[in-house]
Amino acid sequence: MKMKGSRHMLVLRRILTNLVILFCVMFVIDRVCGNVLKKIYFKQDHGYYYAITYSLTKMTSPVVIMGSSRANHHYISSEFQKEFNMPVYNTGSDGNYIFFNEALLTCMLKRYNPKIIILDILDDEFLKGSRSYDKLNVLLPYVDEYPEIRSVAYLKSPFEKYKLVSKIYPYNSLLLESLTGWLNVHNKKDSLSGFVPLHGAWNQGPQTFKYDAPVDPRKVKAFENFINMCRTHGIRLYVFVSPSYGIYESNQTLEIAAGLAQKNGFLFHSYMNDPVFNNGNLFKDTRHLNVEGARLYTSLVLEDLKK
Amino acid sequence: MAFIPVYILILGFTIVVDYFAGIYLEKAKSKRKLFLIMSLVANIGVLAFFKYFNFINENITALLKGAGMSNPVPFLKIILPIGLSFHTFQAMSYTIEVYRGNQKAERNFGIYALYVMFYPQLVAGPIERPQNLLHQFYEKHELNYDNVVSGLKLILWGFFQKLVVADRLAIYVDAVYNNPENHSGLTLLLATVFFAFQIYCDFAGYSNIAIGSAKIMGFKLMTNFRRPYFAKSISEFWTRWHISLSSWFRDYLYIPLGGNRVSVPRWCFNLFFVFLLSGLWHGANWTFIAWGAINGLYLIFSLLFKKFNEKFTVFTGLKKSPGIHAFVQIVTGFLLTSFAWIFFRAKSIDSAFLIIRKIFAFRGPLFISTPSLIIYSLLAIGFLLTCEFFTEYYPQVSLINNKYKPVRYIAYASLVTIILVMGVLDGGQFIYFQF
Repeated sequence: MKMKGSRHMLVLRRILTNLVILFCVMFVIDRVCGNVLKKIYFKQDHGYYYAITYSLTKMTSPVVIMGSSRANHHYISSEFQKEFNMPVYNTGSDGNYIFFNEALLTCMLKRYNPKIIILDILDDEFLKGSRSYDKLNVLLPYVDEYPEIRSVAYLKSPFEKYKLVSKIYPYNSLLLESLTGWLNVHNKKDSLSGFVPLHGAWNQGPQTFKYDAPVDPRKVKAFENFINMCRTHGIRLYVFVSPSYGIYESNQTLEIAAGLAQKNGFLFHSYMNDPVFNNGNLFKDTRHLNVEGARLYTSLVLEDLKK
Repeated sequence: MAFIPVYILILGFTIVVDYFAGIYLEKAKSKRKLFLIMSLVANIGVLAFFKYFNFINENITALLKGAGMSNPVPFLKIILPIGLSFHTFQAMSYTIEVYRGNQKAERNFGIYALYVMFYPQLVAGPIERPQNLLHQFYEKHELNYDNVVSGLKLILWGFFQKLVVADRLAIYVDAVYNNPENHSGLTLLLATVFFAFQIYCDFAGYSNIAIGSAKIMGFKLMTNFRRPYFAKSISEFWTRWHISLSSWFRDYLYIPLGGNRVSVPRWCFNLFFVFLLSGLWHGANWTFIAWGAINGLYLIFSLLFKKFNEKFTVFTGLKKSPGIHAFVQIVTGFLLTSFAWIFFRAKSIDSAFLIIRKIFAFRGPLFISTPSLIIYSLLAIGFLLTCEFFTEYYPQVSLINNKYKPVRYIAYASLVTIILVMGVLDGGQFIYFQF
């Protein structure tokens, strides 16, 4: 019996010793690879991830456009620049939902106080859905430098803080993108203050947008936090829902946004169901305006701001 | 997928029925067949109700509608219990083996319940046999270094297959197969090839994790996949793909039907019928039945044209170049299985035919959402095939089982690093959980 017990202990010790050795090897590789990936990631000077790095860590424009890819393709920065007579930067990019914008504003406020923020929200921004949580992975490379955004990044999953023990993990699936952004293989330069025009027209019919998810209180809370930060720092906030090409069912997002706008005294305007945009020629796809559509939309938004 | 606690009663019901059926089957001198039929009816009944009720009802409704009548039977709002097809088949193999006298009836209710509910393979197999698993529950399992190491290696490889290959390919496959009408033939062809690797790595990945987990605890589960895309014929493919299910159908359906010891027409019928049912096992949809039928037809054709195939090999000179011959056979087998996968993945039969038409028209540009996705996917497939090639043909050349410890450790760490760098870590479901 005693012999068996000691044999057991020997096996256990052997397993644990080897696991410890493996963890040590893994730890070293993780640190080395993580640092290499970090270097490559922050060397980018073009592309989607560079735009995020610029928005989160460098940008100091007094007028900032925020939101998802719809913000990015719908708000022509130069038109706003003419109107406000000061630098404008469009930080909108694919998958930047309310959580991301909350984190982005937190980072911005650490550096400077913008004067005006134009926030474009989605027509289903406050409804439950995993997309906005999944897309928080774009924040992971920045959590070391900006501990203030950790709480937002940790919303991605309950295990996020443990996963971040690995230094490779924040750069998961980013190696090729980082390399192309660093080596600038597409030979492009970002020159339109963040705005990216889309070309081509949508030649199919409108889409029907249905919403069956309930409201996600965490997303509403993130929007409230966003409003509070603007109020505390004296930032003028304008919130818009830009148009899509489709037939909509109503959902609570608009009611919530309108209610909070009234309560906090900022402009809120939804262009959903606006008949001006009931035209496929203004769209690249049902969710994104092409450059002609963006020109028309920007002019309407500017009129709203003048009012 | 949903967690419905009351569904444990379904499992409880079949466990109780099969436990007593086993004992009565062993005790009874007469009416043994009756006990077996009762047990099979209970198992298949539960499976049929949860999995096939609405499918059958839908088809009856369509038939009656065609005859100008309406179907009074309402559709049910039921969710398929997770892993039902797997543990039902495992439970049936127990009663059949007891009936055949190959297995003693299990008297310990807890042990029998454990046999059905053994957690590593409860939800998606391998579908075990009582002769292999039940006795292991009586054995004392001591902590064994070799078991722990080989179990962990299997788990690591399973994670690679799932996270680096299957989940990466799924991004492209889902985007294309969810809207086949908007994609070109070339795109659909690439998505179909990707799906062949996705479904393999998704299911083989899960199997390796399950087998590895059991192995760490000292339990030996049956191998479920043996590099199926290196098979040189469709019949060989089925000895390498989902082995626990293929052998289940062979032992409990194909052989009792007469197997190959019957006339050629009957043999063909046996093959076709077994594969038709195998398709139906995968899901209540005509697409799965079509997938099974196509595989059945492949086997029938390879049987009927066996002599022609041999002559053709001699005629083309392939017989003289075994390497090239093997390569041609492997590629042909892969293309045929990939063609069948179109039906497995498509949303409907119409959609599958649309995809096939478009693939053969071979027109239009290749859809590339992001170049990195295609590059990651090709790298993942390349890495997988390289590893499997060496395991298949040069098993002595292995990094992960290398005799030098530092090489092994670097291999483990590299695999973990590849998973961290290239894996899709946002959590995708295992495809086979839905069956």
